[in-house]
Amino acid sequence: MDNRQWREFLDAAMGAPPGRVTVAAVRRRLVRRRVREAAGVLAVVVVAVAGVTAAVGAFGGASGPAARNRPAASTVYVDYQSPPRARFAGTVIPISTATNTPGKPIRLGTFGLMAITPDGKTIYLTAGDEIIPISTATNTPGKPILVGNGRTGDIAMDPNGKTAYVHGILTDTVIPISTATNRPGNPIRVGSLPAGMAFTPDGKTVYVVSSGSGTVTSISTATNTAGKPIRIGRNFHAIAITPDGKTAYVGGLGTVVPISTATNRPGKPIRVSGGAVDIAITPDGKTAYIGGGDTVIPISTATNRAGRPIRVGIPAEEFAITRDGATVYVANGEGPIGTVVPISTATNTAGKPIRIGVAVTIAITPDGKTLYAAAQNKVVPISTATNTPGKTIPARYGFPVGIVITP
Amino acid sequence: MDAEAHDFAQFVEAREGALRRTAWLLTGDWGLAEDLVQTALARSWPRWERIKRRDDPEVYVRRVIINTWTTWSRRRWRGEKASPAVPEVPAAGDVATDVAMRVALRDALRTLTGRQRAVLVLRVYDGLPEAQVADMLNCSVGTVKSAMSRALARLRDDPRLAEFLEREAR
Repeated sequence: MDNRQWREFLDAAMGAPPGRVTVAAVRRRLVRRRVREAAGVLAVVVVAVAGVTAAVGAFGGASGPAARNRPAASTVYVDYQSPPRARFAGTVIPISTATNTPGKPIRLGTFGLMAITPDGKTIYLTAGDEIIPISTATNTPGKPILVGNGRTGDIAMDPNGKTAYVHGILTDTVIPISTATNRPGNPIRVGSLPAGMAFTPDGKTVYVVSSGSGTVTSISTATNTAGKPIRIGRNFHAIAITPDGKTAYVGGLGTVVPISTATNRPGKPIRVSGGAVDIAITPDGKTAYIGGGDTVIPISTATNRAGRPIRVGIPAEEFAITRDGATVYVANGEGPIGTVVPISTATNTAGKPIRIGVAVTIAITPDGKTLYAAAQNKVVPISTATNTPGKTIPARYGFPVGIVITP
Repeated sequence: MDAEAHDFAQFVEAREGALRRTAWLLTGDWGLAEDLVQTALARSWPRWERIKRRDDPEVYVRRVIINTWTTWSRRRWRGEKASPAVPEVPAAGDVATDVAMRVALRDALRTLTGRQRAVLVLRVYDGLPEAQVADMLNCSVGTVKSAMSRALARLRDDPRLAEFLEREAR
């Protein structure tokens, strides 16, 4: 039998897919589920980028509130989808960085993206058309906040901790949620297909990239009003703002556009090889790292010139940067292995890839000593000093959606 | 619906059936196949803008299917034994033969190793070239070739399939 005959045999033997319900009904159910799942996975990267921005902002000042009074141990929260065919969906696992042991899982019955207040007291988790606040003191979910805006996408926390901004992915809006009252404000109109969000370090402005309309919208966090859209062209996704707050770098396919936050005018586009879907800026603000293709490209923020590409061997999907800015970690969650690659910012060379697991997503502790890499069914702590993985922490809850760490 | 989502929806509409059939050959269960395809599509959708530009989107999605299935089977279904048949919704025609053939194929596929099954599905059913399959499974072309010939030999010699294969060969 040749390949064609085998194929015909396999086709015949497996028979028609079962059709108990009408095709239309199955499709509707499929699409609903896909959108739910996809919305969950959608902005992990973007959140990570926004997280990096916030982290860079927080670490930029030498005496932030976090620096003065930091508890000895943090808690890592990893949001997991659920194993296939599990009876429940969505579990958040708290892990103490002191012991690296998982605490009692927080079962939510749903999953989404997370943002944490700068004081670390509350996590906001997107879930369909609701936001669930989780108290980190008691590790219990609070009353869901109905945002009434269709499906939520990405979520980002302003550096002052006053407002969480949530994408309405079907309505092209951003909804502010007051962390004091846990009430949603009026939706703020942005361009179509909202992608990355980033705050200026002073928290006064949030920039929202809209990949569909090819615009960036600045929103005043004091008044929650949008400025005039800044046109940059379609298919830009990621955004990061320098620690001095002067420049926003917006990454698209093969291009990075710097935007002056003083004038809200785009500068000359910087060509980069491959994609430009993730951006991380060092705490000293000197270098922006652009990821997307198999290389990471350093851009000098002084000259806005791209440096020599750094070969990392994996399409960069997510960055995390150490507090001292010595190392930028690149994660690739979708590849067959799930790898984290450290890049020395001093030499702009990539270190040995660290294999983690499927769907890896990363975050660094506030003391900068440990990188936590969550992957399917496990969390791996990695020493940022030696880049060696520690003992694997089991977390048999399927694919991770996001990871946040308390200050 | 925005352009990107529309584009993705079109892809799903067009290829969902084919992807589910591939997934059935891997899992031997329509429910699991649906789960697998949904998971793979859900994981591909956020990157759709990149995927559709990079290369053949379907190859990427199939790669995600294979990766997801590999991790699933490593964890959950290793050593799973063939169980008494639970007939799914029968199609028109000779119901008994159809069900028997499907059960026989499912049981026969279960005797293959994960890699053999993946190679069989990708090479024979999806018709992908050897180099691409090797790339997807992170192994050499030689390994693909040997896994392929072993997989076909095993199916050919499987007594449960013999009767059906004879009919096909005629």
